[in-house]
Amino acid sequence: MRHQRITWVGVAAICLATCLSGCLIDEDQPDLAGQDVRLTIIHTADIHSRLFPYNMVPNTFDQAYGLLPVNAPFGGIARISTMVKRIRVSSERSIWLDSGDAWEGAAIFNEFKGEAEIRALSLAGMEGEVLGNHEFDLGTPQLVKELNAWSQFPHLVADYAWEDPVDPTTGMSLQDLTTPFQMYDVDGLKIGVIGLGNEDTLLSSYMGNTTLGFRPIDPGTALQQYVALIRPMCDLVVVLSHLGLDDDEGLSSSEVDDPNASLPNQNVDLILGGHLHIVTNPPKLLPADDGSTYCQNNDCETLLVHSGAFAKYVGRLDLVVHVSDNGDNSDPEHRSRITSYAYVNQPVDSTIPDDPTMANFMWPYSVQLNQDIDLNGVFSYVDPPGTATIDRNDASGGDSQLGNLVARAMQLQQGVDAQFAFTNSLGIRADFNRGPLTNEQMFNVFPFENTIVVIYMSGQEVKDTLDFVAQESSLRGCRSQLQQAGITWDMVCRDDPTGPSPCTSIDPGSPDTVCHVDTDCPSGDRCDVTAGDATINKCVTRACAQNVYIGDSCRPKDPNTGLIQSDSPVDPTTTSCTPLSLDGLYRVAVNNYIAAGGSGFIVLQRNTSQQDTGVSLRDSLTVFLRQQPAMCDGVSTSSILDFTDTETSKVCKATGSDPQNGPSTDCPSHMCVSGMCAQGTVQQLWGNVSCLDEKIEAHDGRIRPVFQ
Amino acid sequence: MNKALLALAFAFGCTTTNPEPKSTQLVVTIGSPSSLGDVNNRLDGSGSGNPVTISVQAYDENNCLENGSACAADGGPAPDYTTSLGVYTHYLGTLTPYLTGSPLTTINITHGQAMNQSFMLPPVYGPTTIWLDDDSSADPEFVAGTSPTIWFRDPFTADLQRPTNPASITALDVGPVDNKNITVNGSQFGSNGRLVVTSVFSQGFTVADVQCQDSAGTPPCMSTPYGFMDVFSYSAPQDQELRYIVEGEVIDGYAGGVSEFDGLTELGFPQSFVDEDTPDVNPAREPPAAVFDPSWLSNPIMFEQNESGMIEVDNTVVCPLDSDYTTYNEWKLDPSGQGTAAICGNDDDIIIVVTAGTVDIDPGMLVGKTLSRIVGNLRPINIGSFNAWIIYPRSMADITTQ
Repeated sequence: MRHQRITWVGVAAICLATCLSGCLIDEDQPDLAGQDVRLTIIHTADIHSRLFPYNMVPNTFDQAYGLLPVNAPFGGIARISTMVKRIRVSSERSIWLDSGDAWEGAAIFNEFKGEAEIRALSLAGMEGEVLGNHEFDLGTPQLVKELNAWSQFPHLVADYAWEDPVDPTTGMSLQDLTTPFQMYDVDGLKIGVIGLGNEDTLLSSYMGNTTLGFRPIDPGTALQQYVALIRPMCDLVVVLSHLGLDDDEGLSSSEVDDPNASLPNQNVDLILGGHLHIVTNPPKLLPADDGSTYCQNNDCETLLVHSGAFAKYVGRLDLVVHVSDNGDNSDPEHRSRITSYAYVNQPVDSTIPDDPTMANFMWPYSVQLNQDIDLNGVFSYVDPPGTATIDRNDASGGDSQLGNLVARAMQLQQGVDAQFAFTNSLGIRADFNRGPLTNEQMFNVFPFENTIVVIYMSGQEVKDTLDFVAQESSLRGCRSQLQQAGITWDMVCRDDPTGPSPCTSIDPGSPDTVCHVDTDCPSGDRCDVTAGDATINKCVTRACAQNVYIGDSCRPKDPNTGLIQSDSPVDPTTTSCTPLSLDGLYRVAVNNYIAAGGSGFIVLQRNTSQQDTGVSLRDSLTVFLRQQPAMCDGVSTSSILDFTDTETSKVCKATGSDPQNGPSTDCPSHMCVSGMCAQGTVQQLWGNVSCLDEKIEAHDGRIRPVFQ
Repeated sequence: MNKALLALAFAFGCTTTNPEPKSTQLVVTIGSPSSLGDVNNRLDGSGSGNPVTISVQAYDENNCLENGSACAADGGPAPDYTTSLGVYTHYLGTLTPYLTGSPLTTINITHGQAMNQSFMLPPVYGPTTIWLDDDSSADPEFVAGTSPTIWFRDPFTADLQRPTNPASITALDVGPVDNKNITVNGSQFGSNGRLVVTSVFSQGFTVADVQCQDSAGTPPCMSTPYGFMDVFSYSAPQDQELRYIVEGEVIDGYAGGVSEFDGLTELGFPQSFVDEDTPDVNPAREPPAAVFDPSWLSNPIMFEQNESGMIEVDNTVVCPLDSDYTTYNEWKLDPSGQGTAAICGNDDDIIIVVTAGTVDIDPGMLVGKTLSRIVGNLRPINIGSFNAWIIYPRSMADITTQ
């Protein structure tokens, strides 16, 4: 009897296991040897928590790629899910890969700490993701927790050596939850995917108040190791990268001097990149000559594709792969190769219907988010002229209006009251578009939970900090990597060695370099021969801070218009500002990210006078903006008509006590008047909110880019 | 016992056998041109059209022609592959047209064969393949095939800039190879030619394809229309060995994606190649600036011919500064020498100057004055009928006041 019971238990177990495993399928794998095979790769990157559609003003590049203002709002995982399903229907072989940073960038991340992103992407059918730096924003324990609980797709990274401790509640560490590479069999086509993360992760991990949990390995070395391992088994070797474009290209043979050097990308067919939020359409082609006869007769190249960010696009890459004639993918003369390809980045906009399954899945998150955070709450109205926005980047490359606003809010925050304030430009992630400014937009613009730190700096430290900013900015098109208030300076991006005021800062990258001529120095530096002694000449940078003054509106004003001449040098004889004293002591507001040395602000990190106020930048700016007058250019918001859309005459139900009249969610930019949407004033729609026009904290040359 | 359990499991109907997967392969051969060229021997595909003749055959996994007849390999009948195939061409890094567009032509393949099919390729550059695809056919099997490579020559700078039809209304804002990934490997002038950097700015540089006096590159060197390119590197431009590119330098080539940024043809995400250990720098090789003539304003193709080149504007009056200066750092010149509000307020009649970041000059001090000479790199904005002719002086030496 006992034997018989076990047997029936066994039968049940087998049936259960069989059915749970999706049933046994007796399927012949197609023999693709020698064939041209079509494969569609679906590529996303830097989704940054944009799981719900959001409003933004597409820039010139976006519009050229088909992201049109009329089709706002943009993004949303329910739309992406629809697009992925459509692509899969139109292609026999497909695979969806993501280049990381799905986390951070919208309120849903601040609220649910990664759970919503992992669950939604799993449900949508993502098949592999490289870990981006922002996946570590809440520290490795939180990442372990969410991956372990919810993830249904592989997380790849080959260039980190994990050292994170086992989480006591889950018994897991990242070593258990990640893999350096993943092999896929897509209907007979064998694809090996290797993940490469970036070193910014180190800073993110630090900011998560955790131990680092891993050591970075040189990406080229890691790549070479794993390519050698999997190349023989794969028709295609794909790198899923979050290194950024420059480092992606750095894997290429075009970046090295020695043509005989062993190069990791020689056997890589495709790099799918992310991190810099860019689109490479057409894809880039990196030289990948492996020295074979095949490459002597053909252009051997590695394809490099970036597909944008913030869920604005889904990249679709159709490949024709000529499969190896003899199945020997270790032999460069006979291995499988991409013979042709077609790429498009498809806009994720309102023309794409929601996938109902995904929309239903996201609904509870939406409800709870709105309960906890008044996402649609409006506290200001952005009203620059025409279609202008309040920008985080100024055309000059110097200070920007939005950067000035943020820094001013930090400087004047109650209890901070600093002489001046610094914040890093990249901490501001989007512009203020024309129209009502909501709490949700504040999360999109300031996704990070950064706080204000008060710090006492010597004048020399201030100078060193600004020198560093000039040097970093000079490498980025002379676009300032810092935003500020209360201080004015010239950001010399390239000096004139023969002019009256060349830069004199010794390059911290080569402090001991003794030079004879410029070519002895790192690229971009020059050899300062003023010492006249080749044994003590030093390499100096050609970018530095000059003419630093403490105060606002330091530059001269146009006598006719009264406007500050942002391009003019400070006139020391007429300015009310005081020159920076290297021996002085200054009370400065900075954010806790750069205070901890983030983005290379080592000078700040070394300062031991830091006091973290605990006040978030987002809250500080919100308060500051609320305090602005309800006037734009002398016109009260009570008389500003809203022309942002044309929803007039739409049937509506007001949200107040009178269902026929008042604000309505049926026409959020309008008033409900007698049950029909109608244009209203800002005041009618959102009450006594403040008004932000192009004049408040406008670009005024407090950071003035200079090429001598 | 185990067999019994498995049999029971199978009896539950949980095991299925899929039909044999499709493994049709398309073999594409090229009948014409008879010579496909090779890496070192390139065909010229830059003309208005390139006739080709191809044949396509479909084979099954047993390498039998899919004509419905018996296949010797297994004795059974091969599939009968009869459908329509879209024809596309892949060159300069993208498919033309994209898969969702109407294909160049359609080929009907019947009983596994379509022989001697002739059609025209558009002007093409670089290694080129023909892509056949049944994805868009009525009953797609998702079969694709590509031809052997036809080796056309790489484009020269002027091939990237010269409009397909200079008389077209889109000549200013549509380029012949927009959204293609190009590599320019040298000068159209052969051994006497050079690619000379004519200006360097914070986010890129401009290059001119010039003809010098001899193969040693002896100056003076002259440019020809459309022989200029704006290489937008976003950051300070560097070559492949991370050396900064400087004005007057000879580069061996450049590569990247061509796009029209509001009418300005530019190269995005570029790579610039300088093979020499010591870069060859000689500003004397920079071609002379094209001298602006007021007739250009009514014949804007002249601007297009000099786009990204240096132009010289003589005896022009500085207009009063307006909101474009505070917003875009743009100040304006009246080439007619009058400086009236009517002229200065009309973008069609003026030349715009941007000096911010390169020349430490206060244009407010120049308002109403005549500049006897100003030279700048021409980077216009052309959007539909809106044209703004913007020049970027490189240094104070490019501006001469009276």
